Amino acid sequence: MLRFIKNFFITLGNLFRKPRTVVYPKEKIIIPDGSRGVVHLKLDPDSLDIICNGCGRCSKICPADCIEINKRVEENSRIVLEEFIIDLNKCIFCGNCVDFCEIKAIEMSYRYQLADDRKKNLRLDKNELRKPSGVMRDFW
Amino acid sequence: MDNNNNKTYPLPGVVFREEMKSDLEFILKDKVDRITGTGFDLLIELPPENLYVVVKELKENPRLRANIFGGMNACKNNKRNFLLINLRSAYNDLSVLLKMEMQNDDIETGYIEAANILEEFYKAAAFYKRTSRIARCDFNIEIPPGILDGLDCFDINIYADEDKVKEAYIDTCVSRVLDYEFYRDMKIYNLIAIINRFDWKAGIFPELCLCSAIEKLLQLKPTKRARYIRMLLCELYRISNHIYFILNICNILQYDIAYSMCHLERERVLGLIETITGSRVAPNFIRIGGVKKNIEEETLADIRKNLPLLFENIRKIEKIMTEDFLIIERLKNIGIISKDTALEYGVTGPNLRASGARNDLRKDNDFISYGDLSFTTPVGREGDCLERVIIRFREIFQSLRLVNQIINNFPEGDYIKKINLPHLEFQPGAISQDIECPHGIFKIYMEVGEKDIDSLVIKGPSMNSLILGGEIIKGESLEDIDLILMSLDISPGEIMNTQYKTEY
Amino acid sequence: MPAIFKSNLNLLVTGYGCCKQDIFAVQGALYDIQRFCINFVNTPEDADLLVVQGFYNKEGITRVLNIYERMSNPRGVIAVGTCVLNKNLFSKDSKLLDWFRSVVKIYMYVPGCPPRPEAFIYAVLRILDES
Repeated sequence: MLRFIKNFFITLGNLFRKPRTVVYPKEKIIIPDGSRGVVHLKLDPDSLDIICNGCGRCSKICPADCIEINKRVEENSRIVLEEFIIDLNKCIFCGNCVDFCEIKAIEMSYRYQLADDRKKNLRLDKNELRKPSGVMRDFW
Repeated sequence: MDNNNNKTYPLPGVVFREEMKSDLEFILKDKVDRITGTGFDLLIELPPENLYVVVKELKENPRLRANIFGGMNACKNNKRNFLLINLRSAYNDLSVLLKMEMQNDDIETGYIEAANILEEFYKAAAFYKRTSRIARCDFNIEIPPGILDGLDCFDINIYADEDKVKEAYIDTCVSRVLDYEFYRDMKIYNLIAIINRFDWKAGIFPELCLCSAIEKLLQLKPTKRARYIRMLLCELYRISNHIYFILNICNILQYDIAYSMCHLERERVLGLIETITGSRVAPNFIRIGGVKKNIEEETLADIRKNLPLLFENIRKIEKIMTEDFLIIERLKNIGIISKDTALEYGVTGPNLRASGARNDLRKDNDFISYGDLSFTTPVGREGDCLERVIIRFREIFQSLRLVNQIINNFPEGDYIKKINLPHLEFQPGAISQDIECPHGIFKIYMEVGEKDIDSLVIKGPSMNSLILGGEIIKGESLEDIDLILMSLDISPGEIMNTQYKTEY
Repeated sequence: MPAIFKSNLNLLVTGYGCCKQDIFAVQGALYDIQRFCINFVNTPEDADLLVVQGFYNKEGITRVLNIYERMSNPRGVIAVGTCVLNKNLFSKDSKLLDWFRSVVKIYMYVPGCPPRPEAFIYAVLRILDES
């Protein structure tokens, strides 16, 4: 009998407890600092240009071969980045490209809502990757 | 690099191992090619014809008495093909790797022949043998891979009389997904990035094993802060893995209160891990000579804040589970493993400790720098499912104690030694490394050339647990099979490198 | 996707791999996927959506196709993780998975290795939202 009364009070205590569930689509779960999401191309704060000069180091060391880089040499021997594509179908989010970048032109963002119904939409190009990492294509 | 500052790990058994090596050289004089010491084990290279004689000598010589069959792995790449057989002894410190070089296409038949020879001495070797499909026709129940993590990588063929299992045969046909040469043309930093999928319940341990093996080869000792960060991560992952184990047990028992409480605690630990490493499952955090990035003071404060909550909540789960007589009655007296059986099948880790043998690499071998900290190794007595659940609870509390000690004595200093990673050069040779992971002893054997890894053999402890699991479900009733196999804590990632069994 | 799924959606998870623990983490109290009437079931006959994740060899692919055939219409597939989207992480050839992707109808691709639990919820909710 004593046990039943004890259990009743445990239930009663849990009844007025704050719920632990995060109501996900309305309120976002806070992701811990330093979590690895999609790669984000950093911008130069003055000119709002991409810092990356297209040296191709990240695409060489990538364990999944998911980075494609095209660059063009102008007449005054200046190297311009033409294309920077990350194929999320192949990416394993290891973060090695960020470690090996010498000019710190890329970083890992917190972007994780990535599901799509077309496979080719998962190839993110330069314009997609330079968007600020907080902005997402929400639908609700 | 000046070698005065960077000494190798002081191994307690070095003197003894030299003695053992000279003994072995005397006993197996003209039967083997060469005996060398490679890190944790002695490597014996022998021609395939002499396998029977050598194994017989190792098993029956009273000086050696190698009674534990660790496992058998094949390695095949463009440079060399060999079989690797691990034998250990429970009575002394002997641990040998038998290496047999094969011809290029010979390795499949050689594998089966070796399994046939070894079956005479060790019962566990029968798992590696080829069985024809006709021999399995008298099984009347076939259980396909299940839903839960840990039961989803093998078929079980059962011959059952009413509801008692008489014969059982485990087939890992769905889990053979590994290429032999997945590491080919791969740099070491890329190998570290993907090797953590070999043990996805606790991803730090394969990385740590690989990095410590290379550090031992380079005669490099990481800084004190790096070692403490490594220990912190090891213990956090151990807690996470054990909570996941209890969660799965609760899922099978349909015990929903403890199930959702376990989920909450696991999320808490994984959140701490993610603040440190950046990923929940695949850390990619250990580097050669240290770790990837520093731990901030805020993170330590976060861990310090969460530890009492974790302790309180896990104590609550333990109380709920062990005070409920339904759970106790369900778990008690099923799947009993005696100490001798566990040793014979080469099971390590908590499963061995639950049956009464004290075996912990953290204490025995002064792994990383666990010698600085004080903790006890919990040892069980009965060896049944209940004991295996309780021992995980006790290990969680010990791990919490260790984490508390680590964050209170956190040393200052560098977190990595600067080495020229893209241009590493090794002295060619072979090395083997053991570490204590939450399931048992994780072993890596590798041979390096001048720049790259030539051949790599990864052997997880779950393989031995699975072989033993096929043995102890004989005599139990059908409804307990899931529970018994889950209580052995099989990590499916370690099973995917089994090769050479029957093809359909 | 038919609108019938809005009231009740049953998922069946197949394969073995590291994504599985993060998929089942959504059952926990922190994420609680049952708010959206989404349940995990054990039999193919009850399932509406098949969650394909993890490592596959030849035997595994045929078994997944068997499970897919046993499911009743309407049915669909969610592909989770890099191992299904591109190729097995530890094996070089990807012919089997290409063939598999051409045989079944895949409603949603979830990249990540492994994806976070929220990413999985996002994918399922997006299927519900499109119906």
